[in-house]
This record gives sequence, C-alpha cells and structure tokens, in this order.
Amino acid sequence: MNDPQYIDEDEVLFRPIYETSKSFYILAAVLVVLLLFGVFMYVRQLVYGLGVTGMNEPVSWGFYIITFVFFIGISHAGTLISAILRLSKAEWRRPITRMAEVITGIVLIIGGIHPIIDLGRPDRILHIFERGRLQSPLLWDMTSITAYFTASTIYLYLPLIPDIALLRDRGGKFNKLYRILSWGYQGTEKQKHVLERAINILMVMVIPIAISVHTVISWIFSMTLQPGWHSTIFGPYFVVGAIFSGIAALIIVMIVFRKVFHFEDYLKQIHFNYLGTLLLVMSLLWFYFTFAEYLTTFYGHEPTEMRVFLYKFIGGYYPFFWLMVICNFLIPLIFLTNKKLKTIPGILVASIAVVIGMWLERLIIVVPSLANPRLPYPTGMYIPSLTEVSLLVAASSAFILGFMGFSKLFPLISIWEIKEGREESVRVVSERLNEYLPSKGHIRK
Amino acid sequence: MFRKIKSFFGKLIFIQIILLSFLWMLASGMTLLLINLVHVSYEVNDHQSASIVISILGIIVFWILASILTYVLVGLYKGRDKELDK
Repeated sequence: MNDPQYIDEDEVLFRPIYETSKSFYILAAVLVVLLLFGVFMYVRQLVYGLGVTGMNEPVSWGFYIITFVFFIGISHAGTLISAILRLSKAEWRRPITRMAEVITGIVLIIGGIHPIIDLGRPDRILHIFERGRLQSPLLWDMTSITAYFTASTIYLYLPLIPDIALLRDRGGKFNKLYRILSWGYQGTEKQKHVLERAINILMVMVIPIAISVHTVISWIFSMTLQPGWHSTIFGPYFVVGAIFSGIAALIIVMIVFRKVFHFEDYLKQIHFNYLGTLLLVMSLLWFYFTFAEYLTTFYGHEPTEMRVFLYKFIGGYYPFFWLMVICNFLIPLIFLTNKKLKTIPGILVASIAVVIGMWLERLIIVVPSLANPRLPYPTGMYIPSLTEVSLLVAASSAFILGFMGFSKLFPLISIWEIKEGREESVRVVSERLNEYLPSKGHIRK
Repeated sequence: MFRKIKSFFGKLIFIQIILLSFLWMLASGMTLLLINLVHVSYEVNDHQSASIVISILGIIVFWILASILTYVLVGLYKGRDKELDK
C-alpha cells in the first residue's frame, strides 16, 4: 500500500479525485456563471420585492414552490432507494448507493432554500421560531425535512468513512481533511462491527422519515380546501411520485458519470435493467394514482372541482397536463417494455422524460388549483418571470455543481463495498440460497 | 490495509469532538424550538395534544440521530488497534 508503484485494482474509482480534465473546468465555469446570475436575480428580488415574479392573486405560489416540491421529491432517490436495497440485501446495490445518497444531500439543501426564496422577505423565517403554530403542515414540513436532512447526511457519511480512510492512507491532497473525517478508522473487526450496526439502525430509521417528508409536503396542499388539492390520496400519491422522480434522477446521474469517468466495469447493463424495471413499476403506480385521483373528481362532478379538472384537461393548462402524461407514462412504457429499446440510451431517454414529467406534475398540481379558487374570481393567470426561470436554472446548476464538487473530494462509488462484495458476496448469497431452497434428497410422498 | 495514524492525534480528536458537538447543538436547538412551539400552542389555544405529539416525535428523532453518530465515533476510537498508532 505504501509502495509508490502500487495501483489499487479499483484505481479508476479514485481517478475523478486526482485527475481533472479541461472540460470539467469549462463545465464548472458555465455552471458557476448560471448560478451567479440566479443569485443576482434573487438579490434583485430582495430589492424590488416579489413583484418581479409572476406570482399574483390568486396564484400566490409558482415556480419556487414547484421547484421546492420537485427537489424534495428527488431526494427520495437517495436515502430511500439506498436504504431499501441495503435492507433487502440486494447485492447489485453496491455501486449505486453512494450516488443515491449524495443526490439526497444536495437536493435537500437546494429544495429547502426555495420556501425561503418564496417568502420574499427571508427574515420572515424567524417567525417560525418565535410564533410558529404546530397545527400547520408547514411546521410539520420544516421539522420533517430537517430530520430527513440530518438523517440522510449521517447515512451518507457513515458508509463513507472506510473510503475516507483509504484516501487518507493514499496520501496526497486533502490529507488533513481525510484524517479528520476518517475518525481513526483502521478496518479492525471492532470498528467494522460498530459501523455495520450503526448503518443497519439508520437504514431502518431513514425509511419512515423519508416517507413522512413527502407525505407531509402533500399535506401542505391536501389539508387546505382548495379544489384539486383537498384529496385523501395526496399522501401516497406524492410519495410514489417522489420515488418515481428519484429513480429517474439517479439513473441519469449514473449514466452521466459512467460515461464521463469510465465506470463501465462497475455500472453495468444489469444495474440499469433493474433500475429500469423499478422505473417502469413506479410509472405504472403513478398512472394508477393519477387515474384514481382524476376519476374520483370527474365522477363527483362537484362544480368547483370540475373547474380545475377542465382547466387541466382541456383548458389553459392542457398542453402541460398531456405532456406530463406522455413523459411520465407513455414514454417510460414504450422504452422500458420493449427489449430493443431498453438499452442504456433508451433508459436514459425514459428517465429524462420522467424528470421533465414530474416537474410538470408539480406545475399541474400547484398552479391550476390556485388559478381556480372556490371564491368567485375569474380564472387567474400565472406567467413565470425571468427571475423565477433563472432561479430554476440556478438550482439545477447548483445540483450539478454539488455533484462535481463531491466527485473531487470523495469516491462516487463505494470502494469498500465493492471490495467487500468481491470477497464475500458469493459466499453470503450461497448461504442465503441454502437457507430457503429445499435440500437435496427430499422424498416426495 | 490501513497504515498508522500519526502523532497529532490529540488535535484530531479535539477537531472531531467540535464537529460532533454541532450535531448535539442541532438536537438541542430543535428541542428548544419544539418546546417553544408547544408553549405558543398553549398561549393561542391551538391543538395542544397534537403539538405535544409532534414535538415528542421530532425531539426523539434528533436525539437518536445524535446518539448514533456519537456511538459510531466513540466506537471507532475505542476499536482502533493502538499498535498501528505507534
């Protein structure tokens, strides 16, 4: 290990940290410019007020809330998928979990900032601490998102410790940082046992926290009496949508890093096949919930609900509504059920369509209901301004930049889990199979 | 697989404890916030029972998370092979 000629068998996983291409710098520069433009537009909003946005009466929520819900939804990729795959001991999870956990950490920060941007005056956030009312779903939301962010950061950090120790021992840049963050990890049996136990506890804890987050976000809408929002199905509908968008985002991230950093040996066709199948299942589930939601509304034919229903189906928002259905259902169905199209590029197309479709779903949920309230107003109009669009672009840039930054400090694929998989997986899986398959020599009566 | 940890061990521990304390400060801060919000709910005559239940759940989650991280960090410190430190 201390031999300068020593090359780790998983050297390719260390390479993004130690080697930086020209295109990395160019992309980072472009993204920083977009981010700074977004910051400039936000400062402009602070100076001139929310009048610079397209929000008005009655449409008082727009891009900021849509983006907030969208990014928090994507966060389910990470911790939930990683935790569920670890809990079910799916061996194919090993190269995936780190990227999934990083997605969660980054998008929770980006999503969490958006309600503060939406407030207009950010000092108003202090009112939550002074005079907040726990009766409000907004407070439940603040509590659950903070808990989820804390849990998912710890859940990202704990399995990262052995890899940080590897980086510490290699020497080189950021060595002091790695020494601090590795907490003296040496890979002794006691240390492995402690880490494994903590990760096991966390992976069970994090699942109900993750489910509670998006359920509570849905309650921000469904606990009101707004037509189109006041629905009992919103809790599970939002959770399904979140997992759906999360898997799609994870697939996109995996494909991009596989291509850029040459992880073909670690992120194989089989990983994308499995995730593609999960994506298809979530697409069907999403369609089922959407169908149930709108059928119930249509069958009831309550006038204020039907105003919103028709606005989405054939009124001002019909292009977005039907584009959402195409992106979330038709495209995944076509690409993920057809063997010839279920290739990595095909799965990428389906995933991109889902990410777009799920953002549109948030748009369809937020704006039409506000534009058609129960009060006798004419239908409201919402046209997003340059401020809101630039902040959406800045949020997306921040997401990519966050990942790029992470890739320069820590491995994107869990190296110790890959090594552990090579050493132990075959034996562990064989033992598991022996436990539930019938033994040889069983006599039939 | 892992080489010896060198001499400024004491300084490292100090920095690591500072980092860990941030999490305990968060847990304490959330506890104080939620207790304050329960107090506000009594003042404005909101649903006190719901406020208390939500607060208890929230407080427990944060303290468990802080405890897990402390357990890991103490466990890693205790589980190290002192021979490798030399």
